[in-house]
Amino acid sequence: MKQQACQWRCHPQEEITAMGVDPFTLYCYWAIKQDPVKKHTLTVYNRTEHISWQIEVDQHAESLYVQIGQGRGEGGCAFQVAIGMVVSNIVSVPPTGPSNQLDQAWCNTAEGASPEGQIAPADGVLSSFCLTQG
Amino acid sequence: MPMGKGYLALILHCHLPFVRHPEHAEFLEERWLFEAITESYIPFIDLFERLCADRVSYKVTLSITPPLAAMLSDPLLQTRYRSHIEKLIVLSEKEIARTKKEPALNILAKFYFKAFQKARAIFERVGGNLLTAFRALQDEGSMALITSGATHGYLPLMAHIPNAVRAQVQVACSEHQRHFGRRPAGIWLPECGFYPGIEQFLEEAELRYFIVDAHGLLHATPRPVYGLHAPIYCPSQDQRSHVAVFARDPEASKQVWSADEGYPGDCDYRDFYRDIGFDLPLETIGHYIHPDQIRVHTGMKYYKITGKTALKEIYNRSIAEEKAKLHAENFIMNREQQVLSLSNKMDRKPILVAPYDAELFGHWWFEGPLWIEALIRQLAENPQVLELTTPDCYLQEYPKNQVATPPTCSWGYKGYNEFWLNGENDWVYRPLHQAAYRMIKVANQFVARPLSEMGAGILRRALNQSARELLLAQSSDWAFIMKTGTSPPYAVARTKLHLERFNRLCEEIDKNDVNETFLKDVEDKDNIFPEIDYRVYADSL
Repeated sequence: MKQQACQWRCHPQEEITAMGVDPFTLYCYWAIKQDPVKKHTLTVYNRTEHISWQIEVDQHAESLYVQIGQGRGEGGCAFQVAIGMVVSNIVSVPPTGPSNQLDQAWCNTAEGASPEGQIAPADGVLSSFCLTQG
Repeated sequence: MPMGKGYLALILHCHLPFVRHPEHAEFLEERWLFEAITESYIPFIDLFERLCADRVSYKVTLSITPPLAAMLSDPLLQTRYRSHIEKLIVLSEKEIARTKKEPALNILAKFYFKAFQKARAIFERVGGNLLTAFRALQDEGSMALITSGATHGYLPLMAHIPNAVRAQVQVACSEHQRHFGRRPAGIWLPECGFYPGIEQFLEEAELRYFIVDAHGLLHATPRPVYGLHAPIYCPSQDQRSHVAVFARDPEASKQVWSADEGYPGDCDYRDFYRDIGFDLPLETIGHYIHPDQIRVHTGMKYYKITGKTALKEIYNRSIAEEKAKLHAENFIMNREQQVLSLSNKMDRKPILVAPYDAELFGHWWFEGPLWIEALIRQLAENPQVLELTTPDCYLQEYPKNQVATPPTCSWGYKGYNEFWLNGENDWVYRPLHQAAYRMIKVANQFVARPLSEMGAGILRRALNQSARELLLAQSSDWAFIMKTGTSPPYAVARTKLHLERFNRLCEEIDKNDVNETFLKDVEDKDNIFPEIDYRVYADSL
């Protein structure tokens, strides 16, 4: 049943891992060779909106909570962090509100052959339903 | 034939972390299990069996997590529970004698004596294994049993290690089948923790649905047209195997959960904190608390909430019973209003999903089981507007649903991962992740070996025990307890203990020098998942 082989690593010499705390914060921890003098530069990549910025980090630090700003866009964003050439996993950061995508795809699991997106709900369904009821 | 205009899905999430300590004659944290058995799980069995006996039609969903199932079916813990309930019966007999000149207290002492006797009778009738009763209720057709993560591991914080997520799901489903004789239709994602991508592992395990908090549906992409009140399907390559997502209804939730507005805070209900374990002098209660004279809840509580005062009035069971019925009536009235306002806007009957931690009912909210029973009986008598259902039954009636992707979410504080990832507990993730990678490495290393070579040998046992230790270390409860501050030293110790056992086993496996005495010791202590196969961590079998 396994659809794909999963990547794994074991005790890499240098690594950085990112996790989402909420729509506004990441937590990352790392193991990077320390420079006795220079601070580390942590680069934060917003892979969805194609922007990045850098944060200076104490050379002895091993983890950090990173503020990634307000108002995550449509469907949330994918974030990644890096120190030098050591790059983290990608984190799916959630959106802060309802989606503006109103196009509908439907599926009937009892009719496996029915193509998605071609089955419409009944007439008169309010597209703003979740906002009025939430 | 369904006749109502909408559905209510009552879902009770039964979970406790694996707290089994054979190395001690009595262990404080095992009382979590014993209290929940007496006050929640046995009252559930009692009430649901009575409903069946009275031919009351109902549908309810219980998620029984694998650690809880492991403990309920464990002979050692069953023996210990037997002693626990015997002791409570003796205590209540003594309380009847002690309170004979205080009629109001005496009535309550007699009430507890009967309740404890009944608990013992039900426990013995099912042979000490409560799972037997839950399975019978499942087979009877009124109760749907679903699973959760193998050790209630918080999956969004291991999302970057797919094999670790897969193992939590696969081991849970195998255990569920072993205990209940069938694959689970649904899964309670631990802490309702979802992240986009998890659905592929649920699909692999042939799970048909899970539950998220309200914003899991409200913030899904594209926006679900029916909001919270119909499920959506996660996207899938396979048309027939879409996993459905149901969302918690916040209004139904608030009326039961809210500390300010919820029913459990009513003045007539029993006060949880005033327990004779704390109120009586040690000479009287000493034998019935922890042997180290640590005061604990005995379950005998004589006072009602009364109000925001330290001067509590004596609990009156009859008044509390009537109040539970009134609160059930009020709950139904509010849900019916919701359904009536929703039903003319939808092409289907709306579903209100009301999931709760099961231990709220009985343990924390003593009258909770009475409220559930009143709710079910009242709905059975008047199903014209609202009927009970299970998520699976709903999907059978409505197999056509919108396809959308929920965002990362949980039902915890602020709705995301913060409760399990903050300054109190963030240190656990580095060693947990390293352990998961190590487990995958050893699983891959040995997966190719012929079974005959591995046999039932010591290496195979060590690999399987490593998987158990990793899973136990991953339990979301430890990070949760570190944050709440209820007993953080225990949670810290458990995390470190399982990681230490795991790492020692892996080192011995690496050296092909497994110490059988150590292995046997940890197998006996952490005896969860007797049929686990370490290969669940491998990239491919």
